[in-house]
Amino acid sequence: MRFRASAIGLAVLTAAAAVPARAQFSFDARRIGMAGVSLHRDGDLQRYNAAYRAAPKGKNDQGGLTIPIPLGIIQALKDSNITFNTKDSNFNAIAIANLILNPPIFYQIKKPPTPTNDIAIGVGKDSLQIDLGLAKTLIPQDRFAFGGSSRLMDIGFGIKGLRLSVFAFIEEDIGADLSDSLRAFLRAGNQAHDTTSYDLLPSGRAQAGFAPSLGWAGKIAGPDPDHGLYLGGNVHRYFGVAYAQGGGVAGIRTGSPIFGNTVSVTPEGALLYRFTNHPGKKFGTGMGGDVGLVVIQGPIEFGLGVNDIGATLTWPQTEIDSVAYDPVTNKFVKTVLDSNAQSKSKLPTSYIGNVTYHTGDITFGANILNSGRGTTVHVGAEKRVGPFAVRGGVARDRRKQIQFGWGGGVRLGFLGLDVGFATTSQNLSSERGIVMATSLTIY
Amino acid sequence: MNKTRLGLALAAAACVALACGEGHLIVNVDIFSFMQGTGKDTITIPTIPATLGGTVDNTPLSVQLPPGLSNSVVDTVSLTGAMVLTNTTGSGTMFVEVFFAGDSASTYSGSPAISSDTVTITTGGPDTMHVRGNLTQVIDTLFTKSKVWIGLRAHVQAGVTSITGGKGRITALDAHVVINDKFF
Repeated sequence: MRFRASAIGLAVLTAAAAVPARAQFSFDARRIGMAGVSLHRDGDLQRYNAAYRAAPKGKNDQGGLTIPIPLGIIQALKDSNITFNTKDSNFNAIAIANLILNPPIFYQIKKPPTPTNDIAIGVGKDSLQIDLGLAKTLIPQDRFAFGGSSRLMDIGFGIKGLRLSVFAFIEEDIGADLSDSLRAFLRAGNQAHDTTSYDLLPSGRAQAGFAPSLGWAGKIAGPDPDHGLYLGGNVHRYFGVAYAQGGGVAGIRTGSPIFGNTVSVTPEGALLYRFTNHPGKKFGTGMGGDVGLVVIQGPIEFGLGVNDIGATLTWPQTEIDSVAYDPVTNKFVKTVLDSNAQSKSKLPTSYIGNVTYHTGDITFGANILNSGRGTTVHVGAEKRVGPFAVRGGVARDRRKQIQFGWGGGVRLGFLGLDVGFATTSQNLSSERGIVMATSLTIY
Repeated sequence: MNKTRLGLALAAAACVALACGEGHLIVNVDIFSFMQGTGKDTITIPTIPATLGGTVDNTPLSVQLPPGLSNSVVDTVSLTGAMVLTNTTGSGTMFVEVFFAGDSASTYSGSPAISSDTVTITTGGPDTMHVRGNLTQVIDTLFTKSKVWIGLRAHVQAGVTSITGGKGRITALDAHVVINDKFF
């Protein structure tokens, strides 16, 4: 079997940078202009804080419909010279990966840099060295992964604060690390050594199912309809439909010399994984819950929500397999260790904390969110002057890089036009680009 | 810093900023490292009588190349190398032809890929020949395979005295292969 090196490189590099791609995504230029802060009591707050269901609509929740204006698509159609043909002089694996990571919705004011350097490989009888040039900065320094915990659909009905619902959940954490020797070989450009292993350390977990849920949210105390203390909670009965989890080592081992009469490099690897071999036939089951608190007192609003507390699923029927390289047959051999094993998995606990402060025509907002994989922090503000609004904000993304947002808008009657600018590191180089979002809001 | 140094510094900075290069894969093969210690880096020249000439082939040698390039297109292959000739007696001229092939048997059946410069043999030596230049496109395709065979053929022309005890020893031989596929 033969793989195109460029295709493998593209897949690895895309996965490497996919961490922030699943960050909160919004087409709303108002939110982009505040570096991701939302001043609305919906969206992430409703999703991650069970008490917000009982909170009244805020003064920033008047917008009925926000329609993004995808200027980025026009730009992409005009500028695109993307090609998948490696023999084309315009081919650039990084440019393709950056396009995947940055779907062309927003107009790119400053595009992320795309390395175009040569890759040099030095080959001798007992030497092997790769110089990736500037592209070596793309080799991750620690585990690269993508995933998160999501609730798709949430269908239900409520009576007086009680709510019976069912939602679908999907959680995945898929990634890989490089062994020290492989990282030094690729990133530092070190010489390969004989009789040495150069390994990828893949690991991952994915699970999906549905969860009937009973919840309550209500106002505990408060001086008027717009202020008070609100509490909420949900109890979930999880029914897992499909599950897989595994990890191990896969790579190559050099011989001595590295290149003799034949290439002495041999594959090596051992993977252990478990999965539902009959997905949906026997559900994984477990219990968990959410709690939330909201305090709206004068100009200050504070919220805290924690989700999927204690959510451990027991899967009654899973298969445990191993795959290991057999040097005798020169093949990877799969062995079924147990076709009817019980396994347990956890859903990561997610949380959100938020605070909003109104003073005059200015609203300050901040939130901290962990949706199961990494924490993001957003701080922003909006000042309204008549029909105009000015916004700004700062954020720390999942890569722990600081990002900035700024923008403004105008509201004329029932129609609002907003523009937001934001820095972003959602690219393989980790250097900031700048995007511009535009949206219309019908009030 | 004078103007020249400033210019060089600016050029270097611009080169880094623009990520110098065309985004190609370049494979530098140290062919000599495959020969060293095997005896195949040396051509032993038999006695060449005065005013006569002769050729000597070494045993072909296989060189491993990075796998996975069979669908790639080679842009250029350039070769650089050197051979040192020593002898006991005699004088004349000598040059070396380098052959490449996909298998051992046909190493010397085609045209030479490149020839060295012609060196004048002096009694005792050492006399150094140099190989430097691009290979023909026909031969370029061999470098997309996982293994290439290389052979050296020495052409010796004796002068007014016979050449005895001649030995040509490779001291360096490197191939610089530019693959046309773009990666970045």
